[in-house]
Amino acid sequence: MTPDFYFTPFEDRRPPPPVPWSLAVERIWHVLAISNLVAGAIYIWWRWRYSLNYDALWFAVPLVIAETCAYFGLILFTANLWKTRDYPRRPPPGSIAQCTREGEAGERPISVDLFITTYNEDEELVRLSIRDAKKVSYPHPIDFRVHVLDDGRRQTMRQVCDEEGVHYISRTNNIGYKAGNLRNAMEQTSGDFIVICDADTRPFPTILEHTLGYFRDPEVAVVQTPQWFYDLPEGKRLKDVWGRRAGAPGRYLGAVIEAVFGEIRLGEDPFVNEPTMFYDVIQRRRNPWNAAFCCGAGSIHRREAVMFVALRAYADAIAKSGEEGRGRIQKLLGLRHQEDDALARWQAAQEEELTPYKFHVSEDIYSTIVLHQDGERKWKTVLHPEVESKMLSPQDLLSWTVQRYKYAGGSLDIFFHDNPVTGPGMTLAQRIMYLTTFWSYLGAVWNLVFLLSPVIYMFAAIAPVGTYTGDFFAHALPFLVLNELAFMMGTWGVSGYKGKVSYLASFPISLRALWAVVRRKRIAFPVTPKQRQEGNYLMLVWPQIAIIALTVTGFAWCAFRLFTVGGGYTLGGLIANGLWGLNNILAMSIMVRAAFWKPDREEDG
Amino acid sequence: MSFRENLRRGRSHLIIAVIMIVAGVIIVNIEDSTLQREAGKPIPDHAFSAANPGN
Repeated sequence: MTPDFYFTPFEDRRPPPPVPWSLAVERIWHVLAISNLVAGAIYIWWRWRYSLNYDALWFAVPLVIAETCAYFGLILFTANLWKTRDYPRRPPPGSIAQCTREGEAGERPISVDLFITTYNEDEELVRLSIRDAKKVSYPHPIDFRVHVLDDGRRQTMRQVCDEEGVHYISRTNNIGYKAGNLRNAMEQTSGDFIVICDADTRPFPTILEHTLGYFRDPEVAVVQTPQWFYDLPEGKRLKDVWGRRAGAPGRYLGAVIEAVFGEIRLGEDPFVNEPTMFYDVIQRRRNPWNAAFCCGAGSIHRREAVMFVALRAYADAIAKSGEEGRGRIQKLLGLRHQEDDALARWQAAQEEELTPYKFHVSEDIYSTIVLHQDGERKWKTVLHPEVESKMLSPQDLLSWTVQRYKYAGGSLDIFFHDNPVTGPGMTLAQRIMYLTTFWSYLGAVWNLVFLLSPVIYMFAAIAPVGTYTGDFFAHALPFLVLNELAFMMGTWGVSGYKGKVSYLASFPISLRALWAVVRRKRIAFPVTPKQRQEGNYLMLVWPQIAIIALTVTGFAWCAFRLFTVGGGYTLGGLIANGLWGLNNILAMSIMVRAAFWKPDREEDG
Repeated sequence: MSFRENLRRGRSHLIIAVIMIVAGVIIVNIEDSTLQREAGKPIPDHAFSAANPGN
């Protein structure tokens, strides 16, 4: 009997279709985006040239630098969102010969290995994934095998695999964590393609039928499908919540607000896990530039490409270790360059291991970077726009924080220590797309400046601009308003507000990751828990609480001084910085609320 | 997806834009009035007409 998981009631949920594409909307977006960038350039130029408060350069200069960095990020993000051009879909191939270059393979059915990686997840949870994997269908004869990769070495997991009739793979250590687990499985399998699933990834029957067609292009290495969390809390309608709290007047007021602004749900997606913006907008719009990157679960890989990455990394490691080893050999044997070279390389080859997936916290994006850097083979990656599997979202702030820290730390580690933007091999467009990703994580630095700026004004009566006169707003307002309108059209059909404020509010995670990477501290990659972890998470959001407290106190202090002694404040300054602070408080409050969030089942209990 | 539904999803952009425009107009008028009071000079040309609806 299937146990009663918290997500059991959501089993019948279906994923949303991909965001429809419209040429008219794209054209409007282009016009607004260019206008926005022009208005932004005028604003930034004016800020540097005319608006600095020379009496407080210690404050004015960092803020204008922060604004300039954010504007550069805006240019990158605009480039990322520029256009949607899906990779052409083709019918599922009937034989491997249709997926390779001429003469590279004979006529035989395609073979596919589906890997379910697990470490300590509930065996019954994994059983659900196994059962869904077994239902995967294909219109042609196919050699399809399901493997459970258990890094927990559990007898109970093996038993579940035996009961379900799938292959159980384990190893004697946990070297390389998930990447090492995958490597171990690759050594024991031989399918032409590999489907990667986490313990909670439940593939749909259509996953192969809808994605293997892309591999008819022999250069396609990876197809990533959007991740869809089917367990996201739906929240409750505003009118219902207010109706319960305040009776008929509350319900009526809630209904009026919803009539004006549309449906409003409270408690919906408390951790802002909704991935549409990332997959359907950001990743999908990298397809035209061959710059979508692999995100692990729900991706399909050509084994040849995975091995290519492994061999490239192996060769690089040998070259590097060979150089280091040469010195030792020269010392030992007294050999000269020509003679010691082969010996050093041979020695290095003995020491290095072949690693199909890089042993790195962000092995997915890292492996994609290696593929994109290969100028000879010109591997392609594809973001398939339709959801082909369902999975579980982090259910508590600790799990969410661990996951985001891994993303931020992994990306920043690559940026600082093996930067593909300046490295060889990629096209200009690919470099811009990767820089967009890295820049977004660096954004925590200037976001901190934006969070503290209104506080500084409210406590110290120091404005970063000369005055809040028409001149300031004549430059700032067109840019700010156009920015909102442009991104409303650029992400038409996708709700982006929570994602935007969550990005602002997650600044402590990115800063912590940045600090660790700068100090060359290794980013650990523990498994993100798949089930809710109990605990008090206030300690995770103390920076956000501090920002809220500082802003509220600062506003009260500023208002008190303004209306009593003046204190160098102006009413315009109070309103401008008060609204800015309010925006920051609303953003921070999302994170603080998430720390207190409990699922309905716990609240009811 | 209907136009109305798409607009609902993008409403935060419109709300923020409206708030910024309204706040900008109010702040400019307040600041210009303050400057005028302090300096004893007339409201600058760039002040929004809302300050002097009769002009």
